[in-house]
Amino acid sequence: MLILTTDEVAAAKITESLGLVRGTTVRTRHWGHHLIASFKGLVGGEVHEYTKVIAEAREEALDRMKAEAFALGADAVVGFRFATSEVAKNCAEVVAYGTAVKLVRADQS
Amino acid sequence: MLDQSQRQPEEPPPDEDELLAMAYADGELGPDEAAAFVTRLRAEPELLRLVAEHRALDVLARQVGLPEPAEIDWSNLREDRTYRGTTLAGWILLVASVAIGAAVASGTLLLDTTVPAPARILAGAGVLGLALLFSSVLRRRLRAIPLDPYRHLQR
Repeated sequence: MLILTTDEVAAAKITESLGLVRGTTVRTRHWGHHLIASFKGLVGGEVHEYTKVIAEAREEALDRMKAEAFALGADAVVGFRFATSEVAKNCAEVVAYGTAVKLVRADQS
Repeated sequence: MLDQSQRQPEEPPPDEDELLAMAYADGELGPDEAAAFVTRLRAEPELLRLVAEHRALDVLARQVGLPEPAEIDWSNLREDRTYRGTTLAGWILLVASVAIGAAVASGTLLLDTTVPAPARILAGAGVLGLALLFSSVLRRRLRAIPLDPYRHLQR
């Protein structure tokens, strides 16, 4: 399935908009990682523990959005975006959202 | 080109359940097939594992970037004996001191006859409740870890 940040699809025409699709998750890591991360806050550099939790949340939210789009029978999701926030201390919330659409090749329309 | 002795042994072709798990993970089953497969998932842990494995491969395949120098260094550091030794010793000391401290504090409070009995009972119930809640959350997490396809992601 195509996931695009653009509103149009090159070489294809949108024939139907199926509506908003989104996936969301809130993830955290165990207390030990937060402790190590707080030590890294003292010495600087990338806080790998949090990079990882954001990556996990991003991919999970993306997969949930794709599952919703699949369920609608979509060919692509356009206008795709990620949004993130902190709902609780050390918890990453990621929302992936876009518009599910049906496509036909431009030369077939 | 690899000679015959260097070739990896061929994996057997996926069976029907593996193909179904792949199709389910990829969202390729129709509504009726998917509903029937979900019914099977509830009863067959092996199918759950197959779906989770396939999803984990899909997720890892999206990480197409080459490792960065800092990641290679970090990976080497994790193998370093001094690093591993100090980290392990640090965790053992920390966890042991917290666990023993909590046990001693709870025991002291519960056995302290100068504290009224209702207060001791309440404190004991609270500690036991926290321990039960923690153990149930830990048990759920340990069961979910093999089914979590995102745990190997790095960045």
